[in-house]
Amino acid sequence: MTALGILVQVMALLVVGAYIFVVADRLMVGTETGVRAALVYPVRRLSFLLLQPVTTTERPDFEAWILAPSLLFGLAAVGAVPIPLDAPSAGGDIPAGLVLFGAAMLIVLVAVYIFGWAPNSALPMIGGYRFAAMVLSVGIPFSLVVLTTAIPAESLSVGMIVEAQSNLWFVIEQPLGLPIYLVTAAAIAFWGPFDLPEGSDLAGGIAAEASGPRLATWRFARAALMVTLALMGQAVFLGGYLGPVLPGWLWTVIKTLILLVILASAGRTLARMRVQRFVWFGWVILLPLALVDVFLSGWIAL
Amino acid sequence: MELKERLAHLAKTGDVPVFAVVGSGHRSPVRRLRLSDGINLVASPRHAAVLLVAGTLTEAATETVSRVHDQMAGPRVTVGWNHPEPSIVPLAENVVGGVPDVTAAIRQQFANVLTGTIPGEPPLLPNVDPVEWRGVGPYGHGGAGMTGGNPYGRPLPLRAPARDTLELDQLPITIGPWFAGFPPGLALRVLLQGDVVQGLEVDSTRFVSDGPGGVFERALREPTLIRDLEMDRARHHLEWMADALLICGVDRLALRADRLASTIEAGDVQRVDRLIASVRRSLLRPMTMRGVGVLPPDVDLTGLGPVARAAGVAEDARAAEDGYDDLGFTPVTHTAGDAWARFSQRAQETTQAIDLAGRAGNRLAFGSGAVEAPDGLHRAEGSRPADRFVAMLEVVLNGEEWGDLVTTIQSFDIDMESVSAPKDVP
Amino acid sequence: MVGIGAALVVFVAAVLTVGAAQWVWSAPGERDLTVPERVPFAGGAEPEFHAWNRFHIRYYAMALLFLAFDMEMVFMYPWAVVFVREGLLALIEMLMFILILVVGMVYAWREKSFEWS
Repeated sequence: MTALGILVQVMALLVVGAYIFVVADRLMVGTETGVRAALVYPVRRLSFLLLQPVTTTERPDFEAWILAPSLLFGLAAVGAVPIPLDAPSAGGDIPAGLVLFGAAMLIVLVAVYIFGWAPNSALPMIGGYRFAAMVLSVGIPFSLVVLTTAIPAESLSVGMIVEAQSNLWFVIEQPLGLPIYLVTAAAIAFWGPFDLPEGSDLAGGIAAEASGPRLATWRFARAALMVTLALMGQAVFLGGYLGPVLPGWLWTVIKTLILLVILASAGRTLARMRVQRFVWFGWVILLPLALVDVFLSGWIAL
Repeated sequence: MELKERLAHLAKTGDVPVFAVVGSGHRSPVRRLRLSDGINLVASPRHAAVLLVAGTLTEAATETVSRVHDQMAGPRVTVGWNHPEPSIVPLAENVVGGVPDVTAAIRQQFANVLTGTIPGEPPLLPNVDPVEWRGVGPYGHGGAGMTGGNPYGRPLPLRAPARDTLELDQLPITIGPWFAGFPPGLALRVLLQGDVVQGLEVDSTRFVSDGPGGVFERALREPTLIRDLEMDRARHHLEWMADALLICGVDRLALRADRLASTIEAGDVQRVDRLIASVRRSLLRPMTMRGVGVLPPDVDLTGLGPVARAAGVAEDARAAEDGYDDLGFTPVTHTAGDAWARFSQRAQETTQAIDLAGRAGNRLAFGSGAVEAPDGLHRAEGSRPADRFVAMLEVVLNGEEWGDLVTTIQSFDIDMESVSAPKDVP
Repeated sequence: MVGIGAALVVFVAAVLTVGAAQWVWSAPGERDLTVPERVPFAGGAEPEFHAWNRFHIRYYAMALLFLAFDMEMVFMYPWAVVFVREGLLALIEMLMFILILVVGMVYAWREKSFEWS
């Protein structure tokens, strides 16, 4: 596949996926407007945000403020490159795809932090620093559970990892993997119940000063990030494009949707965790569990 | 421009982002507005297109409301709701009526301002720099201090006393009175070091006028049906729970609590029980509330209602009433005294109230000068519990992380409409 | 290495797309904001100070611990690939390495490094 082909594929995937995710989230809130209204909700919302002007604060860091949504979307896009859609070599089959993905997801910290820093306003800034605490706490367990899937595959290529699941999906072979992955992925996408940087106790936190197109691009980039995380989740734990009868790409789509719906519903039904509890949770619960996952899976693979 | 028209046509049928300034007597109605189709109450004016000014505000609120108005990104429009003083902010329209009326008005004005039928409102405050420019260069560089001079007029944060030879900053900032995480009208001046509160002072300015007083105020003066009192208590607690759930990010359950508050009937305990079971499954206790907002042991809890009972003080004015005695009333208590105990306390008092209301028949409560209101003991003479809560904030919240501070303040259920005038605060 | 090249192309293109979208949409026909419209939001009150400050992060000890574990992650990527080939030896070696780090983690926990100091 050429670079241009991959670019078109990734962009299309993220735009469509982000749309579906926003619709799913809208349905999860439980307003009585119904499915039809939810389907047009993203369009109406985007139209409104495009009509609003971009506001600024007194002395913001303009460059950082414009860079943050761009960087977040860039990271979401580059994280999706190594994920194969219907065959091991489809997509940008990168030998060390897992490393690229892991690196991109941890740099999300920079995008979120500067988005909170840029407006020079107290509440967004607290949000940015909260996110730093979160990523430092879950970055290691997140990388560990993703890396563990490379052990039986003997490769860091995502295509090879999917192929290694032809007998048994890793969600069963590595039972701790997917739950830890979903929890840490929600945290990295600052999605509920870990939406601490954008919490309602900070009046919207990092996004409190953003309006119009700036808010639209930020929300879009975050939805795209969720899609990338769900795509990788299904590839390394749910056997990616493997599945009977249906074509491979359809399996990828179905499994991605399942993970997106799980994440969306958790975001709206679970209470936001306190930041101190979260740091404790990341280090004392998630990290040891992730280490157990590594060695248990290693033992099984031998 | 044709593109803009097309966008406006699409956007006007969508959700209206509303920033609400809630004056006296309108906390409940604004909460009910959350159930209205197509109204989305937002926490930051930057996200809003409509400013809703509900109920009565004091003269002192003018500047703060104008500031919030100007912070809206625009095209913006202001709608009043039973708001008698157009002097505070110029209103595009003042609606006198209930939730359906104001919903229709908000939707109409939103469509008008998007399609250009009415122009967006200009800023209200004068376009002058707040503080004189004291920087040397165009970016404030070249003077003394970290960035040299005072960029954009405002000074850099204060230097905290050195600790372990580490010099850190402290940021004094006033938050409120229209910060969605606080009760409407509460403004706090906090000294923040990082995200931790190192000093705190309550702004004694009154921003909301005295409340009209509901069934509990009436019960102080005349015999009242227990049924009415208890149903009002249940509704009040359910609305409070919806607020708590919103602050903790459980929007779905908050909506259910709101819906329950507007439709609950006497004796219908099961629906409340189901809601509380869902709240437990949302992990509200372990994730957010456990161990947060515990009061120091020397705080006097008498008369503080659910907050006192959540800390083990089995004190309830209803226990002394004959009518309640007939119904076999005994106060519920919890022991932990944290934010979750307060939530759980109010949840159980809600089911208890609905049960009592269902069995109360025509029994009357004779207030005899004291009535157990949802936020604590009200007496015919003397201050309301809100005064005591406001007075204790300073002690309770010092050293708290910001999120815990918001959770704690919400857990008290402070009604700023019943706070005494500044001179009376003890 | 068409893969890495493609990843670079996608990254740059994605960043530029969103950056350009922001710039194009906010450029034409915008009026300058007045002073009160630019005041940072604090619930209606006016800030007296710049918000930027030397923010006291309460989790600095935890951040140091993160560095130690992050270095360990660097070793684990190649380790995971050769693990099955090297067998039990690789498992035991990494176990020893991790155990040393875990001792550090337990110590940090005991010292309350995961709480706000």
